[in-house]
Amino acid sequence: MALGLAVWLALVASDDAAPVVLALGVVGALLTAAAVVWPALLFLALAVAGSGYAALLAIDEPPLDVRVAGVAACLLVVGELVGWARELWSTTRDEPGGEWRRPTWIALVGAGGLLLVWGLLAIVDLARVEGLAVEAVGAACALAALLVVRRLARG
Amino acid sequence: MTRSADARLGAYAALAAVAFVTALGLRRPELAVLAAPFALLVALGVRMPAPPLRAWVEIDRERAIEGDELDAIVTVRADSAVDRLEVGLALPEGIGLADGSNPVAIHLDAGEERELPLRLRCERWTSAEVGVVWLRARDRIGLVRFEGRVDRRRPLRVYPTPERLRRLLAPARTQATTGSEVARVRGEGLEFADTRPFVPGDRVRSVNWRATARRGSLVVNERHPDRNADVVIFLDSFAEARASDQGTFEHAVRAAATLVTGFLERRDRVGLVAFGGILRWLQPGGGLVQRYRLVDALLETGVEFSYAWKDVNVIPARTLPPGALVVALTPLLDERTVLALVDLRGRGHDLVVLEVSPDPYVVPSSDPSDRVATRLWRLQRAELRMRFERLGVAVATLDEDTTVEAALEGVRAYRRHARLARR
Repeated sequence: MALGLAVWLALVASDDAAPVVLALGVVGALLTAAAVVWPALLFLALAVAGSGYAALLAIDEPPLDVRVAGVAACLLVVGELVGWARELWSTTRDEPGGEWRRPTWIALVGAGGLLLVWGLLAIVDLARVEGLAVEAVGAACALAALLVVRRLARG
Repeated sequence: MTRSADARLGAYAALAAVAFVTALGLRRPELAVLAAPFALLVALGVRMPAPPLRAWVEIDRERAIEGDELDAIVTVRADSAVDRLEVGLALPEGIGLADGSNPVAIHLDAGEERELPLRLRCERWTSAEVGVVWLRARDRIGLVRFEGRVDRRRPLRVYPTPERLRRLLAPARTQATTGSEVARVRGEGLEFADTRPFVPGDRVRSVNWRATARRGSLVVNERHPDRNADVVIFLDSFAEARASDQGTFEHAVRAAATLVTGFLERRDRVGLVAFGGILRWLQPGGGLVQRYRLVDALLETGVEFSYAWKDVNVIPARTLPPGALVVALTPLLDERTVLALVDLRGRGHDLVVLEVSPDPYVVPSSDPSDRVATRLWRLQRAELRMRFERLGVAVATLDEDTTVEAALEGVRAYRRHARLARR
């Protein structure tokens, strides 16, 4: 999945950005494979895979890029698949009939992520004409991230 | 229950934070949008409260014999819904799973109670406790999990399967009480011993009328009385040689259980001395209760490492009655045991050594110096066995290929030809 994302991004990127995007994507895919064994690498894997897309944005500078929905959904599914792979690796077996719960959930997460990002993109597109709106959304999101990290640290 | 985070929680939170910051730095709203689903998952995932869970374990028996299969039921109940609950019954060494899934992941709705049947196999003798259940619960998002341990331990004793013995060892001396062993002394009994001239006081029913007719004077029969013997099982628990799942001590305990069963069935009084880091003893006694006492004591005995010097003097005197047949089960690896056995022989006990051979546990090496060392070690052990034999002590080797019956036959063969060495 991570490798597919890298190839897809390299195909849609410009000639200047494609090598960088592909290199970062491949490294991200390798790190994802390693994260199945060492889960501490999962952040690095997702970050490197996502940085390929950031490089694409930085080099090609497209207007509002709708492909972010696909990237977000792919990264979400990759993260969930790593978690599922680790569960399958353990000695615990699911009771009969319970094997489909996790893949169904992963599919739901992917589809939900796709819809959420599309919805947010639509809002951003509306506010794009107002430069301050982007700043406000970014600041709010950064604040939300800080709050989440603080809550995690307390928990 | 202990709360812990899945690796994805930290990864998603950090990724969301990095993406938001990068979005600000690059002035690209797409990256902030990309981070949003991760941040949402984290925000929803950390809200999971600790699920109220209860668990019970039921086992159909508390006593079993090696090879038996037991039914166990693990029951779990959740007052609130748990999307995935991993349930694992901790199985002690020697108890395996014959049928069922352990650990297993289940889904529980609110208020649901689930019974998980398991079939356990008693793979080897043990004195264990079964009933520790490990629980790991997570919600649908699965970023946070709760782990806990429910302690419903119950004792489970798995007795070793005794080997069938056709013949046991005859003791050098019997005791005063009635048993199944033909005594060497003469008295009232069933087995014919000899004839002798009649003396006043002899019973008329003892008169051998045929011999009387031939000799012309009254001759009476003498008989061997049926007596029992005192037998002490001397179990060396100072040291053992072992591979991953087998060792000399397991073998020794199995042989000891066989001997205990055999001697008690012969109506002998049997006692136990577990001579090791921790000294355990049981005075000689007979009957079914004594059999369970002895086997329970054997199951509770383990190899305890100790530097403390111990000799025969630490053993209570009543545990080693005079004239008792002492059957030592030892790998002959610890000098303290060797000296204690020599001491016992010196004190006049009828001693038999069943050497539980550590040789099968020696890892073969291609290194020439290792091979020489192994040969030297084997020579030392052969010399040790000869030392015992010079003292009139029969030494037989027990290993995986030798049954207790075969080892006892070796002892009997030695004792037939070494009577002069006895005291």
